[in-house]
Amino acid sequence: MKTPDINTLGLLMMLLLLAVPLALDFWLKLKLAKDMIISVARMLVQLALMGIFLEYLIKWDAVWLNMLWFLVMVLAASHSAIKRNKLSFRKFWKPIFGAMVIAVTFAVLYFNSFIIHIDKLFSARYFVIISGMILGNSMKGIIIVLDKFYTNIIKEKQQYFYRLSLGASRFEALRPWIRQSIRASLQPIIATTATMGLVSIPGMMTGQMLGGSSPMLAIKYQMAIVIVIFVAMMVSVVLALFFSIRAVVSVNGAIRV
Amino acid sequence: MAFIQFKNVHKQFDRKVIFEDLSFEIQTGERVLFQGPSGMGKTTLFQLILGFEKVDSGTILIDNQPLSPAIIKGLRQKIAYVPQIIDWGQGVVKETLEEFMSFQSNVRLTHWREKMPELLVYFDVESSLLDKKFPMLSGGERQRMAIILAILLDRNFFLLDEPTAALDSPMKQKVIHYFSERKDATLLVISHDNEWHRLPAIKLIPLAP
Ligand SMILES: Nc1ncnc2c1ncn2[C@@H]1O[C@H](COP(=O)(O)OP(=O)(O)OP(=O)(O)O)[C@@H](O)[C@H]1O
Ligand SMILES: [Mg+2]
Repeated sequence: MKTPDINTLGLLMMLLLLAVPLALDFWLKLKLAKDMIISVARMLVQLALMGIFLEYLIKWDAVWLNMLWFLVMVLAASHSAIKRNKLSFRKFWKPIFGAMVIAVTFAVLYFNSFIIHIDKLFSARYFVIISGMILGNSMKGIIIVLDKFYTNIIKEKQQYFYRLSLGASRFEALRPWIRQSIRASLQPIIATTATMGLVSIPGMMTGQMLGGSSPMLAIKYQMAIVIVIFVAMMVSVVLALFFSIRAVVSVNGAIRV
Repeated sequence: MAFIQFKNVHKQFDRKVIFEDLSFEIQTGERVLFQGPSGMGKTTLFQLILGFEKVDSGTILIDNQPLSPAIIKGLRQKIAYVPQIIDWGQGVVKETLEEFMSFQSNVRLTHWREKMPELLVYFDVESSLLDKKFPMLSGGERQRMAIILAILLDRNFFLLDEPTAALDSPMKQKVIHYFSERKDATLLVISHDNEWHRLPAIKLIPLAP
């Protein structure tokens, strides 16, 4: 079975569908129209660009280009995670970039070599696409872990100083905040994992089945992806937090974010 | 021997000058009471000693050596500090104590469990309090637990920031009595309570505008 193409008429009909939310917006005076149009426009442009890039990446399939693309994506994700938390890019980019490169590379290569057993580990179709999927989730985890950690420790400075004064080493003193922030960053994915398949059909599976795969095969891929995403997320959260602590907390416990 | 020396210390927060040119010296074994109006920088003084704040200029010497990461580390293992704001976190009191005592630099304290009951009795703390979550404790209970912890650490240098502010008068007396019996200890006390003047051989360092 081949996936039916979406032709120009189809694309126009797709845009026409937006008339429904716009009409609702007008009727209820929600004043959301501008935001809605801007975000849809951004989505269209970004995906179109990504489509063009991916076409070429898959066509050329050069290992160095795939790696370069990967590093650029990680850098963009690091930038976005740091800006979201209003932290200093200069101090935080290395720890976060490093954490994501290590965690995501490990997860993708594991997936490619031990789960789906492909020979060309860095082929665009798998390396670029799977790492993109993993990266988004790792970034979400890192945003939460850094936010919780640095916001709370500054708010609860008295308690932190007290622990240091008792003779705690830097990591001993930071333990409660390390625990809290890592837990907070992983709870959402643990919760969604538990309900997967109950209420919705996950995006990747939908894509694969529309593309003609059998449901069973699509489900096996989905299971593997969920686990790989989770592992990469946990590893990148832990590494990003520890690397960032090394970068901004002095041996004496002074925090300079 | 001089335990702590401040030499021409200058400290300010933003544009507010806290210490302009502060110099003093405390010998090992001395008992010192810092007094001064609220907002004069008494708590800040302790934070400077413990390395939580940095001087803008001037020097702080501990045992004749300038504060450095290594000296600060050593000092935090040698001083028992009771902060003005006491926060042990969200956990159960007993478990939090266990955790504090499990820090690498405290694991040598093997007898603290045996010493505790006597201190709880002396400072009039019910032992059921150990099973409560710390945020449930009253101000005075927190203060007494912090004093008990400071004593259990088995250290000879005490930095006490308003240790009796939330206590009733008989309990203030008991705390002061306890420290007057600790002839081995070097004491640095910040307090608005005049009862501390009665501590034998106490030396006053006023912090005035
Ligand atoms: N981290 C900080 N940033 C800015 N200002 C601060 C900071 N810490 C203390 N201050 C200010 O420095 C001054 C001295 O504070 P400090 O806590 O040392 O006073 P104190 O003498 O201990 O007062 P009290 O008797 O009320 O406890 C205060 O005006 C306080 O607002
Ligand atoms: Mg104070």
